[in-house]
Amino acid sequence: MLDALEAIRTRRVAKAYADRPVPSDTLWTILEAARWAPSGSNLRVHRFVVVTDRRVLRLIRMFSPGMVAGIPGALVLICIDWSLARYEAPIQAYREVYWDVGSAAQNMLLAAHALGLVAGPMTADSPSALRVLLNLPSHLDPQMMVGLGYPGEGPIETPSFGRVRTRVEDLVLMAPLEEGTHHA
Amino acid sequence: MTDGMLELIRTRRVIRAMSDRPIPLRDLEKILEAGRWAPAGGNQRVVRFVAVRDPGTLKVLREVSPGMLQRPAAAIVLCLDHEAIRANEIPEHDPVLYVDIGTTMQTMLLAAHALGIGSGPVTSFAHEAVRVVLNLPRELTPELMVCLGYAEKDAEQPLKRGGGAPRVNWQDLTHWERYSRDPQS
Amino acid sequence: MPEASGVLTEDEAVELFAYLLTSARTQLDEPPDYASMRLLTAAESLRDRIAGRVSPEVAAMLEATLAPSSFAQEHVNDLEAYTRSLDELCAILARTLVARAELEGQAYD
Repeated sequence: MLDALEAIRTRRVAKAYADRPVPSDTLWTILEAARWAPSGSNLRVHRFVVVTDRRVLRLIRMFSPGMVAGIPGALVLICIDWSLARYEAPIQAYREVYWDVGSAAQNMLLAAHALGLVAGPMTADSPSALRVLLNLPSHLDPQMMVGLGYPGEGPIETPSFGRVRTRVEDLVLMAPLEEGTHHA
Repeated sequence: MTDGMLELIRTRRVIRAMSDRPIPLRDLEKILEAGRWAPAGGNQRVVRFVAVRDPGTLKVLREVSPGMLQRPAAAIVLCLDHEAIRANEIPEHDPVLYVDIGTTMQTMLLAAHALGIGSGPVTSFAHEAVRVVLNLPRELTPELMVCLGYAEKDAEQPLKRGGGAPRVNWQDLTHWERYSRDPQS
Repeated sequence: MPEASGVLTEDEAVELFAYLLTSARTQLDEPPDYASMRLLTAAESLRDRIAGRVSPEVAAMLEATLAPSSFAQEHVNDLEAYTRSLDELCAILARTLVARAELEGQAYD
């Protein structure tokens, strides 16, 4: 199980996708992982919309500057279904629906990584465009998009936060302490 | 590895009955480190961790958190850093901030599970009381707590071997225990 | 664990229990924000019963909550003011709990 910590650290953001479809059972496994995320009030108010049609994906990409790795094999939209939410309230009072988006997304990303895929999580920047392109029912509110695919050409970016910052203390060899030497 | 991660995701549960067996510091550090690697919207790190192991502080946190049914051995209070949020020009209540709390929380829950440590999120607590208990600096708001402890039935499990404390940047995101009354910086 | 020190009579405890239990049920038929008011009222009743029977430290805390809780009850229709009063009450409570647990001087920076 300690491999899981390694997986969490090395989860990759997709730099490029291969032009290769994602098998549907692989997709279902990843969606299943999303289902295992905890739910704030145990109300499951999230719905997942899966897009695999390349023509539609191409159109979505035009509205998604965050989709830098190209066309994914599949795109999963994580949406809040407000018709299932028990009440509407100012966001301050109802944060759990957004926490749940995050936990579902991370489960999907880790599952994808375990299955040898790369994934690109993005905030859904153009919800109105998505509505039109996908004929989304009005009660579905897209929050995040997760691109999924096999790794393509080009370097795979290491964990999404970029390079580990080395601390200066790690670079400095402590010679025998001299008078007045500042030491960390 | 494939099955390991999927199995981990599937078998994670919210643990409520926790033993008071302390969590080794290096395991807590691994959980904090995992949190640091959670995906963040726009790659801006705005989530901060206040890690608490002191039993007195945990008791008082519990007293002001109606949602904390557990008696945890440790707790990580996830906070938003509003200075960092403003610096990144993110609106104060942008949903992506709460999504980030969610990804961080889930990552920590999975990391704990991987280490054989039980966990449970607590979301129902009096924010102002927690602020006072931890002496949180102005710019931090407590958002969610990750309670940690060995599940009661697992109290007898032998300690897992771990490596040395990893010297990476999760420390920059972490504050240990309560802030002092008179901040130095 | 401190021994039970009998700050409540059985009658008083039963009354409070009844209030909480019945409020749990009535809240289902009432506007959501009534729940907060009921809980605050329960806290105030408890306070009023025990005020003269507790240690000076706790008595001081209960005294400090008198003004903010009255203010809150008088401003239930002003959500912002009501919320601020409750935040203030929580802060008062937290300071006493911290003192009782003797946490000051134990912060790690």
